[in-house]
Amino acid sequence: MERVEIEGIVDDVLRDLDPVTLHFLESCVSCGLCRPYCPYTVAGVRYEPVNKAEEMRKIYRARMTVAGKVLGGLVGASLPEEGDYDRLFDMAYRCVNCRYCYQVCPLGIYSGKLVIMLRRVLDKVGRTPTSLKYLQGIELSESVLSTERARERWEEILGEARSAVGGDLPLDREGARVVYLPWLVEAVLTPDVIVSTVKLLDMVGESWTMPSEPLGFEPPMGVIVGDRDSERAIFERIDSYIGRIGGEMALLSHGGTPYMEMRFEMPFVVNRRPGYRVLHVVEYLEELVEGGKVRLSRSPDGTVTWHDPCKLARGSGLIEAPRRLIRAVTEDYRDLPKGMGMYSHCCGGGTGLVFATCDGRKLLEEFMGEKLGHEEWEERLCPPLEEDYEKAIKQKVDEIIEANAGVVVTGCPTCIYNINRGATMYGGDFQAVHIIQYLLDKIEVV
Amino acid sequence: MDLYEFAVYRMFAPTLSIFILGLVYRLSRYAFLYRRTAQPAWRRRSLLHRIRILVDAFVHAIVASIRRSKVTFVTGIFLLHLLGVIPLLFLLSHHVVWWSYYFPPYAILRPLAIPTSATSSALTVTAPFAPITEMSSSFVNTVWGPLTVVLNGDVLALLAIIGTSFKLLEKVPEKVLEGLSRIRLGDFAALILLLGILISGYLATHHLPEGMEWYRLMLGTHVLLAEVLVMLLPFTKFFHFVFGFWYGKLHEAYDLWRRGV
Repeated sequence: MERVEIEGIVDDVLRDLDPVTLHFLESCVSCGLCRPYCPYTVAGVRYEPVNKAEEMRKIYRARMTVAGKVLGGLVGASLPEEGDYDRLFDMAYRCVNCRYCYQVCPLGIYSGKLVIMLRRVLDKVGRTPTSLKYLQGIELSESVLSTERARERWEEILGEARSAVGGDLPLDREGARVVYLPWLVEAVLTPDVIVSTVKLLDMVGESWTMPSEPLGFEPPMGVIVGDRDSERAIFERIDSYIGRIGGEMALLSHGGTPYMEMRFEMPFVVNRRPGYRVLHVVEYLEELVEGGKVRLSRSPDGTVTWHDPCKLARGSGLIEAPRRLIRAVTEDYRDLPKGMGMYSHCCGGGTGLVFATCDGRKLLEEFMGEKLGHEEWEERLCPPLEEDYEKAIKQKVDEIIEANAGVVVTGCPTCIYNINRGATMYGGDFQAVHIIQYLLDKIEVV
Repeated sequence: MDLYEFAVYRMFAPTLSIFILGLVYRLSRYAFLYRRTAQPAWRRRSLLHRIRILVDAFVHAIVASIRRSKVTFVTGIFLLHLLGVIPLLFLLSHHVVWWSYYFPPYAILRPLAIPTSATSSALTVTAPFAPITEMSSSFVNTVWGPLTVVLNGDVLALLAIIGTSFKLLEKVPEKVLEGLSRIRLGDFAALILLLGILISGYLATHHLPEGMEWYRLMLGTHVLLAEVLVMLLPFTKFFHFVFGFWYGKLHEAYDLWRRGV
């Protein structure tokens, strides 16, 4: 690629620069305090957040600072060349955007945001994993159920949901108060969660609806691969759907990227505050309990713990609410030993990493009934990514083993998948479940 | 004109001018990039909660370093910043006089001034001169009371020198053995400059080496290096001291308020 092309790509990536991102780019003092908090440092110190972010800072300095333009490498400024792409990929895809680096940084710098910018550069030079690019593509297409197999699987889930409620589902019903938004990723990883949420809405007699097919895979995939335009496009589509229904509340059972992005980032991206509330099912349940609509009954389940999904806790402030709900049904609750809430250790596989790994790809291919193909460089870079991902999830598994909990309740399908996969790989005698699954049979409608 | 005169009388105005111009340049970049956008609905939290979050934002890093990076806490945060550079720069008696000369209201902090030594307000046990009073072993009577044993120029300067040296040496294996690209020449240069200021200040305070020429040379070096730092401040990592840290922490608190964390 010609230098002028790279310069154009970098300029495009930096066109949305705002004061906060400028601070992230310019204020690091390289103290390295973020190192022990990143789930991927275990795979090598070069993956400490500040060192990953440095790759984006080099690019920024080369293009946007006088010193960088004049002195180049002497001041850590350089534009990427073909030979750098493998290294940049390794750096960009050893980050789950868990916000822990931001939390502990003495300067309040969110390195994860710079890693996403780096993914944006890589996306434009064709170095996004095929699986993620595919998911971004189907999310932007007419339908995420782009294959016959996916459509069948979705219909199976809807069938189970119909059986659970004993009748038809109010799909795409205009005028409903609550718009439940299940995503395709939940159909792939935790289909039971969709069924359980539908059952809850039916049980409490809610005025609700859901789209007849998911509005996105794990929206916005544009955030995950670093494509700002597709991020905006998918938000517009979701916002427009809820607007058409006229719902007062968008309800999500996915407590990862989609919830945090819809709740806190969407207004910036579409430059409009939505006229409805965005709630995770934890908040919805707590409102039902506080409003006296439902009661929670106690039942012994052995030792139970709550894993804080990074985007639900650090990213969205839902720390105490799930604990209050779980404590209401069990006496044997304990927090994880490494830290809770703001100091929770990430599961290691969020922000698209699961589907960038070889096993994640296979899972996706199986669900979609379609072979994805891959680039030559992916064959080289995917196996080490898989190894590092396994090292990252092992830390979470070790922490749960230390807590000696039999049930790990959480609120994000990616966390559930990673924790259960880790338990299988490393001999953990526990099971991760979604909070709605855990509480459903303990809910009594008043 | 010797170095002392040059640093004190000739370089002050250029230093201040470059600093102000640099500051305006850096801050204007932030201002020009600002765009008003729609805001998400803030999560409801009590005023008390918000105050706690504001305080937390400033102490998170300290807690985080104590939890998992004790070496960083002891050297970088405690020795270099909390016990070293910050009290030395703002409260060392010589510096209080200096600040007060250019900014008279600063004199209000005079009662909090830290003496050069715990046993003498002028000289120290390592000085080449004998103390001028017979009360050399008496503690200096400051508002800090027994804390003066630690809160004195001698001890704080040594702690700051140890902290700075450690941070400097720490970067060598990080660069050479770990191959971290985030370690840059500028990191070494900044710490060497800081070390130069600390050591020359210490030597000047102690009249080392002996003799008026040396004293003027050391003090001149100390002032000149400090002026270099002030000139470079808006263009280097030192900027965190006047802006980056405060902006970062206030933004973090704002972000956490919004999210209701």
